[in-house]
Amino acid sequence: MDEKNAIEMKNPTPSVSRRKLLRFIMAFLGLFGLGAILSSIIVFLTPPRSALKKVGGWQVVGNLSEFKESSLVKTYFGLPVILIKNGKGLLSFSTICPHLGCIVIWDEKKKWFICPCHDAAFDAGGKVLKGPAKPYNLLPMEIKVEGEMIAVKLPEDKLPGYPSWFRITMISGV
Amino acid sequence: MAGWTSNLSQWVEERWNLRNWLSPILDTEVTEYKEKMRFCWGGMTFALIVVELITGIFLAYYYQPSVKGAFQSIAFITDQVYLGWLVRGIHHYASYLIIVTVVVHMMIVFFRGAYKPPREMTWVSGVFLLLLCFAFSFTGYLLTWDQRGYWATRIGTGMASELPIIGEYLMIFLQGGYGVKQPTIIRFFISHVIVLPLFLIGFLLAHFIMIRRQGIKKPF
Repeated sequence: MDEKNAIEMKNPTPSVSRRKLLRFIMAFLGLFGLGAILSSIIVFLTPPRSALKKVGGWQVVGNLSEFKESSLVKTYFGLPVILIKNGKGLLSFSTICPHLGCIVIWDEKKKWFICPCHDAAFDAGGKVLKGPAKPYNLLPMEIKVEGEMIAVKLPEDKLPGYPSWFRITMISGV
Repeated sequence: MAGWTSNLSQWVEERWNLRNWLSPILDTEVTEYKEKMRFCWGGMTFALIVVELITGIFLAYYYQPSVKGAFQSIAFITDQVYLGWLVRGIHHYASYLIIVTVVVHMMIVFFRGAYKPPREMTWVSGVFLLLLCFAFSFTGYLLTWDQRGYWATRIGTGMASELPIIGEYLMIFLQGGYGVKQPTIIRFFISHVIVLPLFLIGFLLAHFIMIRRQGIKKPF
């Protein structure tokens, strides 16, 4: 008894605090290990950079000879792009509806673009007329004509004013 | 009981003594209040989940998770495989029924106040099971690779992209790239048939063990 009391006297705060510290360290290491495993899983499942191929920049889409008529002409290509010719010349728009991403089609009778999903309509200048796509217009594209070739510039990155899914879908090549 | 069944049960009993071991499950008394319809919806949900697991395994024998193969393999299941139309139809409509039974089950639990302590963790595990049901529905929808599934997925991942800060990353993470393409089918397929079922079984076990330990809440 005396011996034990003497030991306790020497250590007024016995092993409890040390035990707490060890427990804390173990818990910290455990959390660290768990975090390492979880973050590795997330990193593994994130698509690698090489899988993220952007379709952007100048793309040759057609030939001037296809646009001989003076009236409005629409043309589809393997890209989310539409070409239009009217009195003012050639225009190009993205066919991705800025509401939820369906592909708009040109209605020759009504002279407007109509989205088959939720009935959004855009005039020949890409301006939104009705439907849930408001306030977004169809995205206009830059056009370059070299000789007979028509090229359209797909956006490569930031599209200020448009939702982020729209930007990601635009560079996905659809 | 016929002779051979009692012989068989005796043979099993002599070797593994199962009766004793399983008695907590087999000998639980079914009290009168448990026989009412309103206590059946959770069990009905589980029965439908078992139906989904079984029909899903059969469908996986023929399904091809690829852009070229997905729609064709499903058309093949529906039109060519013997009883394929039936298995696919059961898998399809049972998934709708699960949403119905889950919602009714949750409403009854809610209005009876059965979620209250000490059963609050049963409710929490149930909420995770509900979210799993939504995840199953979302991933299964794309696998047919038809117009409806494709656009529904485009809308779903587009919604995810609207989250602040992590939105765009999340959209790319879900799709496996910038668009809904081949990597998306593989992602959704593996989630639908392996990852989500594992989580489902885990949460179901937790849900059931807690119900067994605590019993069903008695009527008011």
